[in-house]
Amino acid sequence: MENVYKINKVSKIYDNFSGKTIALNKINLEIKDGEIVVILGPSGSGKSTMLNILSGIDNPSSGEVYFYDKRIDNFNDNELTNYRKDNLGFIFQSYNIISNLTVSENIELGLNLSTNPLDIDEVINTVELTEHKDKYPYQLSGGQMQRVSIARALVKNPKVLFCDEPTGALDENTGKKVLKSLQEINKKYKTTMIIVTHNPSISEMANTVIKMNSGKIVEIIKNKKTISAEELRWA
Amino acid sequence: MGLLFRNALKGLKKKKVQMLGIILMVFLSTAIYTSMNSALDRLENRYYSYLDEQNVEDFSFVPVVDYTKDISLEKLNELEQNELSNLEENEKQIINVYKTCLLNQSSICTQNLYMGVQGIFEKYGAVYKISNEKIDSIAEKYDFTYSLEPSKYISDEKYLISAMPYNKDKKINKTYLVEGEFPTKDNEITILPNFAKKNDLEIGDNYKIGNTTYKIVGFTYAPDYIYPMVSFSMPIFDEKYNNVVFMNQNTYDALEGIKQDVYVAKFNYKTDPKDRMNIQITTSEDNQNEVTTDNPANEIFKNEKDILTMSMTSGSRIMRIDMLQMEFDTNRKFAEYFLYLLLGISVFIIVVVSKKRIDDEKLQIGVLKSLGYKSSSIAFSYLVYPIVGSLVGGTLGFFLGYILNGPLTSLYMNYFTVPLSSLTFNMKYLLSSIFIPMVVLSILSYFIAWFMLRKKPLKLLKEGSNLKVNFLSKLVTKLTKKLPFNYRFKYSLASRSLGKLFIVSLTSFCTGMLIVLTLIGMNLFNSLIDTSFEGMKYKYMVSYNTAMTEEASDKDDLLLQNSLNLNRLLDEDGNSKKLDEDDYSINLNGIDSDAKNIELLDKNGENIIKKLDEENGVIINENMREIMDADIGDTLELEYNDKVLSYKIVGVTESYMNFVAYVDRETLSKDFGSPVAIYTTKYSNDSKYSSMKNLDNEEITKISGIFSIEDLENNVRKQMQTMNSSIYIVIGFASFMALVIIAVIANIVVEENKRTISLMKVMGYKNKSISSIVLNIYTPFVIVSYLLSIPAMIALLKWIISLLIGDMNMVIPITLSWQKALIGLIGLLIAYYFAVNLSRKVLNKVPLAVALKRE
Repeated sequence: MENVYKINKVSKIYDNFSGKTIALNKINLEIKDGEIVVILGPSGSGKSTMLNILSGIDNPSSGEVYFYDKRIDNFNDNELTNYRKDNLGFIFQSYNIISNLTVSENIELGLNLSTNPLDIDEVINTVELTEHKDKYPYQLSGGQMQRVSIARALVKNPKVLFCDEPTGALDENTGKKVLKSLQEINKKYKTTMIIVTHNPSISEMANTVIKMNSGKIVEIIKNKKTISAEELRWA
Repeated sequence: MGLLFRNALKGLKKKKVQMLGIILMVFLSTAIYTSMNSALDRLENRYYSYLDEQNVEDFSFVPVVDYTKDISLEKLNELEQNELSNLEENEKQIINVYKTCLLNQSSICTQNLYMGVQGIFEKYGAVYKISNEKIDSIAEKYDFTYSLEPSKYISDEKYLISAMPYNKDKKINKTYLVEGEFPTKDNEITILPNFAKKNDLEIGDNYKIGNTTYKIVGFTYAPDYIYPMVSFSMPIFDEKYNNVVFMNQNTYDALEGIKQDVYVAKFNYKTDPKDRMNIQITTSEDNQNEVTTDNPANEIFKNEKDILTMSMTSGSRIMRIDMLQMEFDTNRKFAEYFLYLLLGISVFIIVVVSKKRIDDEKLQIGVLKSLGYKSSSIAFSYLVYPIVGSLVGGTLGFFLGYILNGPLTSLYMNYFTVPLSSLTFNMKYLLSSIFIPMVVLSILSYFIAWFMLRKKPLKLLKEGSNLKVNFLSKLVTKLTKKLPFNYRFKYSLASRSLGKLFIVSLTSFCTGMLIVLTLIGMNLFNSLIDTSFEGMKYKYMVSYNTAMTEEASDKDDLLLQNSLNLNRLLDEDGNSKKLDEDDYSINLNGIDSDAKNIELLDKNGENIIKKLDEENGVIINENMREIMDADIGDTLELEYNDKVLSYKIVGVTESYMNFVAYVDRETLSKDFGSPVAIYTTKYSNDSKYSSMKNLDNEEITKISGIFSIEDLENNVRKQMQTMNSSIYIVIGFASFMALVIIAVIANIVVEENKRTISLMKVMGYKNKSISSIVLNIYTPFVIVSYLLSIPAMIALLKWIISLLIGDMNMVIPITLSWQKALIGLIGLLIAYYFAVNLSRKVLNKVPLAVALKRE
């Protein structure tokens, strides 16, 4: 399997009132194509920063980031936008769906960007929102809103799906349903999934688990066997 | 509660543009309020104290002497030894005949004789000897002091001079020394400081009047010449040519000029300075017995008409002293009305921004309510916006207002001769600048916060829970189903964001009103003057003191002018039209339809003078059409002696000052009883009229005045200067306010859509697409709101101007050409897009990850 991401000595340093904060400290990492990767760590470990840098939302202070052997850390704003448009999908903890648009319109927002999108009805079906497609976000539960977010990301047919704490605002049952959807997508579309979470039980469904603490990778675990989302022992 | 306030304060710091917008709106409003009112206060207070200090007259009069019975033979003999000791031969003869009249030899005592005697008595000042005794008898009764105010009027080419003898013991109308010293020696003179400035004269220079040279020893003000227009019969007042001079008695006695002596009086008790303007100036027999005001002078004129009466100059004296009072009233009204307009818009914008603030923090408020905080406590914490805005904006506005006090006071002062006082701070304005906006805005903000906080915590916490899928949004969804994604998305967003669109539309409407105010105000009075002078293609207006029949050059145009009272205005069916007043006076002009130097232009710019060829046709002006509701087809009936002259209205010319009408000169001449066409005025381009020196004596004796149209126009523009400058100040503030509002709207628009914009950016949308889909939905509403603001502002301005003008029988055209309207729209859109892009750039500085986080 080829590397979808390779990062060399990437650091991210923030200037703030109390001095400098090293969010990432000379990280080296490779992520294989088609894998489910879980980045695990407590609050402040640097996992969200890592996600932001891989996804082009933020730039590293130093180091190199490669996406399919193409260096992306020196992209300008336009190039980064294109990179995200053509290759990535995002799922956020706070869903970030547009309250003035219906479910299907929110998903269409993602579809509109892609030159090779998936069938919108199929995607809506995949996330089990067919009967809710004309509803507004305020009429949905948290889990349903997160699935809208997933569908919007997925319909683009991205190569990589970034998920920042996708189950952070959800209960166990709903969280498992969301994770199950992600697993099915990975299986069906071979989409690489990079999931950032502080919930260690999710790591059992991942192919690779990257443990982070204080801006450094402390351990990389390759799971020989992964379990389905329904079987996860929830933390 | 303190924690809530601190929380609100922190929230305020995050929204710098909006907070700055609030501060700036308060700042601009209070700066105008403070500057205009403090300048007017300063001038007004000084004016009234000046009137007091210089003991300005309460009224003026001339004595009434009945030459048939007021003078005894003994008195006449006494006068012959004194005032009448140097009579000319013919004058001696008249006095001798008069003596026999006094001995009751009535057959020779004709009216002409008494008029001759009067002339001699006035020439030698003997009249005052007689009259003083009569006046003394009533001075005690009515408790006033009086004195003779001698003056001479000199017309020296373009210069009009009023000369007075300096008297250090003068009790009434005391002379005020501005600089230098009073004239004590022969041939010393003091002049007006503005006259000196305009004519490059300084103390120590020589100054010539006629053939005599005087030495300027000082600058003085005469308190009865606060408005120093020496002759009200001349239409041109220019401080360069009007002067009031003082000299010692000897020099004065030697000066040649037309005597304009008058008595001035001052009541020995305190009177209201405004009473002077309420003097009943009338010689009409019908209302001589009417006293319409409490002015004590009116009682004297009514009851003692055998002893004293108003002089020919009484009216102009009152104007000279009290015109500034009228200016105060107009300027205060002006400041008030425009201030309310700007304040009203400010308050609205501030309320919108405050509401936006509260709206943005709905989730936070929901959390606070869930925790148990009372709605009233939370609502109170939002008073931090009006408090900070008023404290900062109000204080800064107060100080700017005082910085502008100096220039504004000079502006209002213009050419009036009142010594200025030094600037003093009036804390009343600081307190008003801070507390009035604070109270008004606090009440409104509290009410809005309370209104929004009445929702249950859960509803506040759930984003979009107030979203209603209404008929409009369903219809839009249906109609746009087949459109490409961008359009569908755009219209869907718009139809479901009606509240936001309404806010943007209303704020754009307010901005539009300010822009329209600026565009109209820039040329408001100038266009009035331009229109009035547009049709005048001549350089000189020559007025004759009698009706002329002589042929004039065929390059000149001739005019027959008279002022007639309107009898009736009849509609096309001959019915009398209702008029607001009973006594409209019309300036009727007889003119030839083939006039070369004058055009009567209608609203379309067409010269309609040929319409005077229609029998008994009259062309009226816009003023008459607007105020009297007169129109083409109506009949104008004018009173002339015992006759009623009747003319049919055939056209309306675009002029806005006074009531002016034009008829065929020959027709008018016949109506006035002349068998041939006569004229009283000539319009000419002949350069010989540039100076009286170019004319022969015969012509000079017939001419009462020559006016250069260029001078007249410059003079009128100068007269309008104060109003123009006041307008420019208002539109300066208005345009700055418009820019502030645009910045605030743009910021709100970007802020409202911050998360959508950031989300779309993360997803991969380009800036151009994001702008097109998310931000440009507001553009049509901005345009429509601007277009709606045009008629709204025009109507509002018309109303304000009508209040300002009051009963002046004047119309000021308020129009906006389509070209200017387009310029306004382009300016608005450029500013709007610039501001939106600026706000976008600020937003871009925030990391995307941070922008997407729920606040």
